[in-house]
Amino acid sequence: MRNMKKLIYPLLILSLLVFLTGCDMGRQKPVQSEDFALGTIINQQVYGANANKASEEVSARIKELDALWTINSPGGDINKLNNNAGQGYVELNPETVSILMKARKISDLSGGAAFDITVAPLVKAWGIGTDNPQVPADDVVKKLVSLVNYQDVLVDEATNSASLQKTGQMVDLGGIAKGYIGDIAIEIYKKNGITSAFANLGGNVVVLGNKPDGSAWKVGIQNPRGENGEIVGVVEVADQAVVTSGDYQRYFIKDGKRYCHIIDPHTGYPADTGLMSVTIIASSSTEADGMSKAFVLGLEKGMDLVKRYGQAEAIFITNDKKIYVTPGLQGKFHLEDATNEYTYIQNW
Amino acid sequence: MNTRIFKIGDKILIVSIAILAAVFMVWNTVGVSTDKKLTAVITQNGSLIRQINLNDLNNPEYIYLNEGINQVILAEKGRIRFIESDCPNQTCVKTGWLTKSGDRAVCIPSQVVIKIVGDNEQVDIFAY
Amino acid sequence: MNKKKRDAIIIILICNAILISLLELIIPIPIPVPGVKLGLGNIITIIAIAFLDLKDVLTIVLLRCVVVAVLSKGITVLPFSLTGGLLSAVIMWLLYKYLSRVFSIKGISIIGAITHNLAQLIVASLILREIVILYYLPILLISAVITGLITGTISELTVREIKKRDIFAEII
Repeated sequence: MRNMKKLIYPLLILSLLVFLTGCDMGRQKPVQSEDFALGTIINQQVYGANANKASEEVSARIKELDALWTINSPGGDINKLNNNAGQGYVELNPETVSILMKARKISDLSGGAAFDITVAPLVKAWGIGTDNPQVPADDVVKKLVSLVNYQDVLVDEATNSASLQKTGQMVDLGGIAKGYIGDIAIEIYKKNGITSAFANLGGNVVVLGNKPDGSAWKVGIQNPRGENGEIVGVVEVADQAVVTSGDYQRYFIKDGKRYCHIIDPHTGYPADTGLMSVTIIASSSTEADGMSKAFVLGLEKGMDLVKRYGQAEAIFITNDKKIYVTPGLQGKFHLEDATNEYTYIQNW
Repeated sequence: MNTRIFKIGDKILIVSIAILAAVFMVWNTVGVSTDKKLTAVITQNGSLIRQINLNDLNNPEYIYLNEGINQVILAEKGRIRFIESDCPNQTCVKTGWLTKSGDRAVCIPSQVVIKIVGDNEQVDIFAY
Repeated sequence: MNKKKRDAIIIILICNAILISLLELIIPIPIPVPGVKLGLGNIITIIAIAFLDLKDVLTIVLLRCVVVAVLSKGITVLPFSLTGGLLSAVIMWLLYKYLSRVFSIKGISIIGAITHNLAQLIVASLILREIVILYYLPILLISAVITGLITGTISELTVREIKKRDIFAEII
């Protein structure tokens, strides 16, 4: 049995080594990847053994959906839907049907006052974010507003088809696509056994779990009047999405007036209700994206909408640089304003 | 069984590696994150081309990119930028100097991105 | 000494080395660190070290690396694998020749694996102009020990059997 004794020593060392291997692998550098899609940059940071596989899967899915939902390039489902407006149902990819249904649900919350994917004709007319933004004539705006009505997007889940009721109507998924894809990314991470990761889709942040060291992810909220990367505050999140709509993202200034890219579906004009940005924090990235259009409603009605939705927290930043947050965020939001120009209004 | 015999050198070897590995792991976690790093990360098509610690740079360094679109990046102590590019829009060059964490310059035609990352005390991700 | 038989054995070893290396590429290893692999080809290298000259050993390693690189269409990794392969072969040969009392073939195999990985990391750092090494060192060391032990044990058993049965008697 002396041979048995000789076994123990090397076995012990071997198990120590395997243990150390496990420790070191758990502490790995994350897999970081970048994609250009949806008209912006998409960053991923994924931790875990399957990180590479997961992030590549997400990248591939992003490219697929970008091609499926683009209105800036030919092909895809949305172009198909738009081109057949007023001509009945067209068959679509189940994923398109799914996002159209989610969009409708979000529009219902405000009765279409805040979020409405059929604002596309107006968005096109204003051209904000393109090289030729312009202020359309009043009668043009009025005419196009009559084409805006989310309830005119009819969806038939059973046959995976949808229809735009009136000729001239157009759908643009730009206000919800990034959010939706954020949720898909999380699903893919989870499917691959990932427990810590985040994706930043052009500013739409979605995080899975906590950071590898167990602490919550710290997400910086952009200063609406600061340079890229200058924050006004930090919010701690885990398993949530952080999405901001602001008047600084795409805009143009004419005759001293700022016209932002978020169009009010009822007036046809860029939202102008005293807000610089609205940030929504929710567990559904899709809904956070759609809800961030509460920006259109202004502080009171916007906060009201968030309350009625009941599943999100929010940060509203007004024109006079005041920051209002929902009660659930107290303690998780910290003012970090290097410019000292912002006031955090607590208990309002 | 004869094969279970480890000679003295083997044993010393394995034990010292185990210790060495443990030491390096500790060093990697503790020793590296104490100073405020300013790291520039250059990627093309999503893959990392270069990573430069801008704080450690005592002499300016020019980086030449010749895949498809010719570009030149200049890295100095504490800052980095696109200084020349054959791309039509010149947006990347116009972005100017990148100096702090979160700053980035992008050239979409060449798919090259320079971004500054690094121990930002307060923020892991930027929402915007 | 029978030269023809010797050459024949060298060729057999080369073919085996290539085969083993190619087969190894099919086996996926879950560790996402560059350079972590089973290194089964080292078994052949060690057998060569035990029975042939250093010149022959290096020839076998060289041909193995080149052919595998060409066949697996991974020509770009050639500088990495060649440096690592040749360097570790030399070091293992030295150890076997002069320090056989201190290290068993298992230990030699471990050191060979470490040298191979280290060399690859150094070449990678030089080409990328970046200090990749330090972050990957712990995991590389540990995996070298584990894979080195496995291949080392197999090599040791094989060499012992070959000696016991005098298979290479005519060429030594």
